Amino acid sequence: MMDMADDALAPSRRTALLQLGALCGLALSGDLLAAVARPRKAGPPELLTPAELALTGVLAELIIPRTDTPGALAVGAHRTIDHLLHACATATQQAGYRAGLTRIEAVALAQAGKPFAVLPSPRQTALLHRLDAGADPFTAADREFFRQLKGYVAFAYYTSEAGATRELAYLPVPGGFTGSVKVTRATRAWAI
Amino acid sequence: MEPVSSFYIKESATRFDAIVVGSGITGGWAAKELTERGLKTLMVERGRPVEHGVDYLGENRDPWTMPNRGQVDATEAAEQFFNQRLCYAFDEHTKQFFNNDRDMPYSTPEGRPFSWIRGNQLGGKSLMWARQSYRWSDLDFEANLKDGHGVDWPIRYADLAPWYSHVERHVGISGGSEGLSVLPDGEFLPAFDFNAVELALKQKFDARFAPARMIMGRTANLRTPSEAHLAQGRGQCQARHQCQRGCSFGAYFSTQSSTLPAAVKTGRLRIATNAIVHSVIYDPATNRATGVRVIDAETMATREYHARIVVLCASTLASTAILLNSTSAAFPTGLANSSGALGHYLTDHLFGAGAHGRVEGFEDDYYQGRRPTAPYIPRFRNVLEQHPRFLRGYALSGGAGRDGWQSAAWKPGFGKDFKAMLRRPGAWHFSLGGQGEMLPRYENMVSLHPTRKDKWGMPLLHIDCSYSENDRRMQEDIADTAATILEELGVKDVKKHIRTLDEWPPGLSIHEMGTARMGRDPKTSVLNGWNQSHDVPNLFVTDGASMASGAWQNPSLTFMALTARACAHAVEELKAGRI
Repeated sequence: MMDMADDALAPSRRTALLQLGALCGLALSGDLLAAVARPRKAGPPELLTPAELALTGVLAELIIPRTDTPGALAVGAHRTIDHLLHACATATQQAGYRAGLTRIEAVALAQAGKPFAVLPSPRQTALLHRLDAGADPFTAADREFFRQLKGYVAFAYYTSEAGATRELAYLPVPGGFTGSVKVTRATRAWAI
Repeated sequence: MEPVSSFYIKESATRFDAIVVGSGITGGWAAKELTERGLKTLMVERGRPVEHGVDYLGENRDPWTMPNRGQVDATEAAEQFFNQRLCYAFDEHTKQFFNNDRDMPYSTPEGRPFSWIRGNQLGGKSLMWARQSYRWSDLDFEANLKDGHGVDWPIRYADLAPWYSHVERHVGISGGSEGLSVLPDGEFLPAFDFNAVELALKQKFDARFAPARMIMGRTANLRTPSEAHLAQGRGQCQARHQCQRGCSFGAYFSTQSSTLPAAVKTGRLRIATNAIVHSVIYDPATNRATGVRVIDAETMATREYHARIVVLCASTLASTAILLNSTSAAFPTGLANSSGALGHYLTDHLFGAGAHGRVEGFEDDYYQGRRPTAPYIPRFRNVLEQHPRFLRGYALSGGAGRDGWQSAAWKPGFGKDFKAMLRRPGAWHFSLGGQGEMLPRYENMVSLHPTRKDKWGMPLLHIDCSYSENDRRMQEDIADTAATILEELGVKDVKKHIRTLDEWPPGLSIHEMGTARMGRDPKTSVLNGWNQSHDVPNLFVTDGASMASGAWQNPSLTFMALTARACAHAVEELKAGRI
């Protein structure tokens, strides 16, 4: 698969995205630009607002960032989450997800005076550490949402081609079952 | 060999030797046995054709190529699969093999749900069954006689043992010989491996809990096929563990991979698909079944097929529904129902209770491939001594694995370190879950709904089934005992899990049995010891409807053995001119 983060954007797409970013009030990072630009996922989000989609993308990349393999944004995890929420989730699950995003945004605005997506990276990370622990101003319910979000991001990432085959070990046809193999420094977890 | 599709028919003036209703695990076996014994046989299937390999639409699909990554669209699930969606095997890769609940609904009493999981295609549920294959023993065949629940089985293990061998050799069961009285050995291919943690815990278990034993689950997957299996056109199991999507290797037993090719090879099989059996035709002058009336699922046209014997293999509840709908002056409450037992004594298996925990150490051990079975602890309750709180017993199954990326949802952290942690094999865990016997009870029953009909005008089946106090007590013991076992094996952070039987209604084990039970006495049972109607001697029911009790093992292998035995008997009786 193509990793869109590695691809140059066509100038017209870049312009269009910058306009979209401006509409959402976002300073778009290169990764976010690239991910939102994935041509196979072009078009508006299916369930989320553009701002919710962008926030999902920022959170996803903070949870599973780009390292020596692509991160969540590069595989379009935010688009996958938007699609699966639209296609496969109940109305209650959809509302719960959006309420969780709203809550993160509200805390960011209250604590830093800016939307979460445009905060400096250390500030984002610090807020997520508190969220991950359910620490003030976040609650146990907020932490529960973050766990759910981590589950969604992991699902979207590790069922993507890069997540399954480049980050983890993917063996669609193992050929047989071996009960005991030794773990080495190179061993990766099975994707499926 | 000619393709299966060249044997499809619609209209036929032929009087066949035999009609087999259904094409799943038992229908396929009936077709194979009857044709190989010389009978011109018509297999009648209500669903659409499914060609081996060609129609396995969900097979060989990487998750990122699926529109919903394996999840089913919520609207589609809510409108068309509102019952089937509860089945563990139902997903985006397999949904085409499940009954459409909008087209083929059923009814249940207010407040007493039942999950009826159905296939609706050539091959039936043999395409997506769980493949666990176990013999029953005399502990099971004598249970009704000993504790008085249900009628005495008219057969014992010795009657069925050679037929278990007969079907095992053809099916291909991978499993170990253990010498256990509660779970007789059979004709096995080599068993699948334990992983390192399972092996260590098995050794502890076998020493600590003898004579109970932890064994590898016996499964109808060809770990090491024999020459005979290769000759069937089947290949070795690839350990994908995606069997329910269909397997082009033919590595697990299904109608398509195994019994249908054998039946087709005889040249004596014909197949009518999209043919919904309305009723069995009965001739009061001769007291014989003479054929079946069908409704064309696509055109609504009606037609008849005729034969010298009729074998019902439509699935437990569908076979009974056909008999209930086959009324006449001689049988006003359903064909072969002079006893009044038809529709009664429905059982499923208890499911959803167990325990799990974490295993320390073994960081250097992993496994490769996805084993299509799991460790299994055969029944130990009420074998040597009577438990004070409940009758009968259960098996435990489960095993060990290492956490994968799914643990992201409950592990702390995020970012680079989090991603690096998920890249490596995670902590080991071990789980055990139970499968227990429900008592056969008269009040657990099916009937035809007095007014509601499906789009073909067929009356809906009304299923009224609930658990007894014995069932509830057993469910509690499953969770308690699984937790005790894990703790004694040194598993850490052991947690019990128990879905109360009210949260998890019957049906979801998909081991529904009974409703046309076998028995010795025509006054209290529908079928005799040959799966033959007491009332109408050329009518046979060989699927799960015939079971007089449910035992604790997965039942499919027993259905197959009963079917092969019944068909051999039917052919003998036919040739002798007695039916």
